[in-house]
Amino acid sequence: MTDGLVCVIDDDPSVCRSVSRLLRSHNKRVETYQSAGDFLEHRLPSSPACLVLDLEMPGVSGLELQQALAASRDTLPIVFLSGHASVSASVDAMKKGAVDFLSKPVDDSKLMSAVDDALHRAQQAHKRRQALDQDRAAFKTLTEREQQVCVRVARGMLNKQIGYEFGTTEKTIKVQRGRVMQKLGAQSVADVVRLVDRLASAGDKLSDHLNVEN
Amino acid sequence: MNIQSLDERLVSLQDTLQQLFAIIPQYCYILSPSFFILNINEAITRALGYSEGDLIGRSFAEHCAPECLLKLQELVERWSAEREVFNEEIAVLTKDGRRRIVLLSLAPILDPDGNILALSAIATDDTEREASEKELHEARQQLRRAEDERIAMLEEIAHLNREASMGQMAASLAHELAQPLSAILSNAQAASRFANRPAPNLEEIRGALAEIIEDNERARSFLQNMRAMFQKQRISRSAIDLNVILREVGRILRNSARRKGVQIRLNPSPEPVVVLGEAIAVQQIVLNLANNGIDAVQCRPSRERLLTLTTASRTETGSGMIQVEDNGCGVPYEHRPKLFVPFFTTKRDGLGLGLSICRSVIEALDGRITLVEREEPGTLFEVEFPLILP
Repeated sequence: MTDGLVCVIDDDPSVCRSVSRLLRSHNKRVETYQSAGDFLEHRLPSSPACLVLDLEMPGVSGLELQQALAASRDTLPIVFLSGHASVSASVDAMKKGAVDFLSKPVDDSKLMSAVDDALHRAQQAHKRRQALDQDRAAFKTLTEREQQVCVRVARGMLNKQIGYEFGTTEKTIKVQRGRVMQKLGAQSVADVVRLVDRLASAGDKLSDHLNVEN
Repeated sequence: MNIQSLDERLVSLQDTLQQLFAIIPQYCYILSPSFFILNINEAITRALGYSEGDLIGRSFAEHCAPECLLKLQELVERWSAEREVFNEEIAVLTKDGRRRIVLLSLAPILDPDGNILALSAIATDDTEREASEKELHEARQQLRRAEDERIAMLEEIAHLNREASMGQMAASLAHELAQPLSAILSNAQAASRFANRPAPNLEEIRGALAEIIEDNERARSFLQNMRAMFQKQRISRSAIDLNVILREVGRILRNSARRKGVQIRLNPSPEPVVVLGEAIAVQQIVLNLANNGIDAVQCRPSRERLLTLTTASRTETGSGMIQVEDNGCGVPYEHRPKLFVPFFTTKRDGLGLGLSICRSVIEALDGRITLVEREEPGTLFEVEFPLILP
């Protein structure tokens, strides 16, 4: 039993209603949308959520919506429903990260295990996102110089090397390094390394902090 | 000339007439002006079984079939007014009560002054002819039934053909049915879960049941529509423009022709070629021929593969025609007689039914299909239908 919001998107109102009733019977929170465009007009949910998405819809199709949401693929996992799943469409959808591809009529247990799987992924992603937000917030509390020092420490540079690069003393760097550890709440250098790694793998641009302005 | 010899000659003339009267195969009566029988010939005694004593002195009406008496009365009245009755059908009865249909003609017998002495009634027995006509009628009806069966068969074939093209629609049909079925299943499973809760949620259950009924109705009416669509329809003909068919076929084939490296050239007649036909059947026929053509040109390098569709009106023969021409391998001379024979094929995976079905359907539409003999390489089929316009 996984918490989270399930957004059902199907152009067929009776499929929309019945699937959402089935999800409600499993105590899920459900929102329904009659088209992909309809869904996109609303703000993307901020809490963990997944999509139950009809493949064949007039206008923006299920696959096109998946494409449009590619950036939030981890936070908004998709379970596809299809009236007649063509192999190529299902392969396409799975390659682009769909959680599952179910054909109508869909069985309760299959749908629920796919939805639970999707919500589980959404929660994991949500947690990662929250952690990342904390990391960023912490990193932002550092001054420009502290950020530069932080990145260099994470790269395994010694105080002496950093001091030489900045044209300052090893002692000054040692003080700055202490403040970085303190502000980031890091117990060890390993914590700093991990934080910088997380930010880097989230695509945050840290290379700026490798350049020295003065 | 003495009286003796004149008398003898009269007697011999009378004998001759009597003999003649006797041997005439028609039933001959001498009737008094009031239609009493004065004399009958042997044909009557022979065929109707009466002796002279049975009929002579009696009214003509007495040996007529009861249902003819009104008609006879009418004829007598006409006779009085016009002095002529010719080949009127009535029924007389034989001595043992069987009916003979006769064609009755009446003519006056006059004295030298032009007064009516009597009338001659000649009846030609028509029963046999009637019977053979009945046989003929039955034979005709049998023929008609056979023809109906043939047409029914052709319709069956056309129907199969249509169904084949509908196979392509099957995917979207499956989708149409999957929607309500999916909704029904989800609602039923949801309702069952809501019912199994310690405090069943009746509102959800009611909603689910109402929607199940609704979706069931939707699936049912969909199936009904499908049934109507697939039902065998009689080939009902209407005015169709062969130019429209030509463009339609061109459009349908565009992609597969491009894939197979075939250039399609469309030569519609400048004016509409309106014929009596059935649009779907004719389109299927032309598609079939064109597909054959696309297969046939594969023997050529892809830049030279050409399929040409042409329409024209032939006012002189009252037909509108559509030609399907390819520059492919052509039909070998020895295959030509078997071309339209069912199950004859040169294709590895062909059934050999395409052309035979085409011809059957074309003929059911009063059209004609010909393989045009010509010098150039390739094949040219010409399909004609009765022209309405121009």
